Amino acid sequence: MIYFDNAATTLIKPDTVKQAVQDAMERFGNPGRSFHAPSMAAARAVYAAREELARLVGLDDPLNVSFTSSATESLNLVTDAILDEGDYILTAAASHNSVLRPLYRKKCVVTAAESQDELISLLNSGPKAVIISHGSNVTGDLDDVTILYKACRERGIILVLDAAQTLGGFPVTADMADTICFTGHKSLFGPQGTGGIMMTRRPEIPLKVHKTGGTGSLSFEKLQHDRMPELFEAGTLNSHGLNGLAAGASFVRELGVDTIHKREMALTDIFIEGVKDLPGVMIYGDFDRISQKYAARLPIVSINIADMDSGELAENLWNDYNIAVRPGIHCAPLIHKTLGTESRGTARFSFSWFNTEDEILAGVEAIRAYALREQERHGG
Amino acid sequence: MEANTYILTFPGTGSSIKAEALLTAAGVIPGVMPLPGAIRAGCGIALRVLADKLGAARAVLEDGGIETVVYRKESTVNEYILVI
Repeated sequence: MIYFDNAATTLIKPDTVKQAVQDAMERFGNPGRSFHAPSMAAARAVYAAREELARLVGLDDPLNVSFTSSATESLNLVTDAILDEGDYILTAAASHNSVLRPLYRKKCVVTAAESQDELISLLNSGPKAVIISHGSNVTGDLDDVTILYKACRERGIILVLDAAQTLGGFPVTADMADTICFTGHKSLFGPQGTGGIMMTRRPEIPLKVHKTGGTGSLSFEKLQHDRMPELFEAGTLNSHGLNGLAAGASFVRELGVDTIHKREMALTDIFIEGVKDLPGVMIYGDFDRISQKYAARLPIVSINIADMDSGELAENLWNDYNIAVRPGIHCAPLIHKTLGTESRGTARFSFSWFNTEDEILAGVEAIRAYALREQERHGG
Repeated sequence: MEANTYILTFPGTGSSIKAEALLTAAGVIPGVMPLPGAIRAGCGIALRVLADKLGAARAVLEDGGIETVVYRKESTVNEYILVI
């Protein structure tokens, strides 16, 4: 099997991650709930995970890392913490539903910009916050968040970054946004069910607590306090998973994010070069804007072939070649309006550190076979 | 508990665990204990240090930005004295 669905979740994990989860399941009590050895072992591991994540982005205080079950939960919690019903919010058309749906649920007035230039020009229209996905999970296009954040800071606008597709595989630093929401199971190679929120600069507005319950703190008080990291962490944390996440983040840090990105983009370039001139193959994304070939991109390539449905292409790849890709809309509805792919979606190839050049070339050959078959079928 | 032991309390679970990590890294190895019922603090986990380590512990926690409130136990009764 060749696995090219790493933007959904990385399938191949470092052995240290699996060992860390196993070890945690044998030793951990409930983190932060008691003083005894099993509880403290879990609590210390959770703190070590906070340290690992903070170190990865250059965040000073590990207590500004809260853990959640996913980037989606993080974005829901942050939306509820900082926004009020009816707030005017800017986002990007490339944003994932984990960004968009919490805003719609909150009855925010949402404008989705189709480019970074448009987004920056809209900052003068008075939004309370900008909440965007860092990089498109459909095209792999990546905007320069540093420029955007500077423009937000100048206007007192909060920037919330959904780093689900970037943290671990592309440089993400604490000076890129006020709040960074992340997942553990993609480029950080952690287990599913792990994610978090980093508050890099606490907004000068009250943070409202929406997820409440036991925190091991201030038990007699009816309302939960808004201190980080407990602000977003009511209930028992997934310390088993977080021990694995810490091992994944450590794996990434030791290799170096730049090293990982460089290798993943080298694989991506081979794939793009192999398929871009094949008859009937369409690749979606803004390739002209990037001066250094495809360097400032994510290792994600969405394609279609002739008039094939993306689901048909993905199913054929799986049945004929045992190649796993994701077809459809990828939970990012707005960008498909821009791409003109609302009716059939795209077949998304997404690569990981653990993919090989031989696998990429096998993928290219499979696409070549379908492209030539479709060309013949259409009388070309 | 020894009379020359001091109890460090914290506003939240995250800060108590961070405090333990910082103190351990600095060589001030604290004991971990449940917060005595007679003390009100945010976190149910407290740390104990011997008197001769209290100054060093406070310095480490201050450097690390950790809020702490310190108590000393009166010898035999369940009474804790707030240490300024």
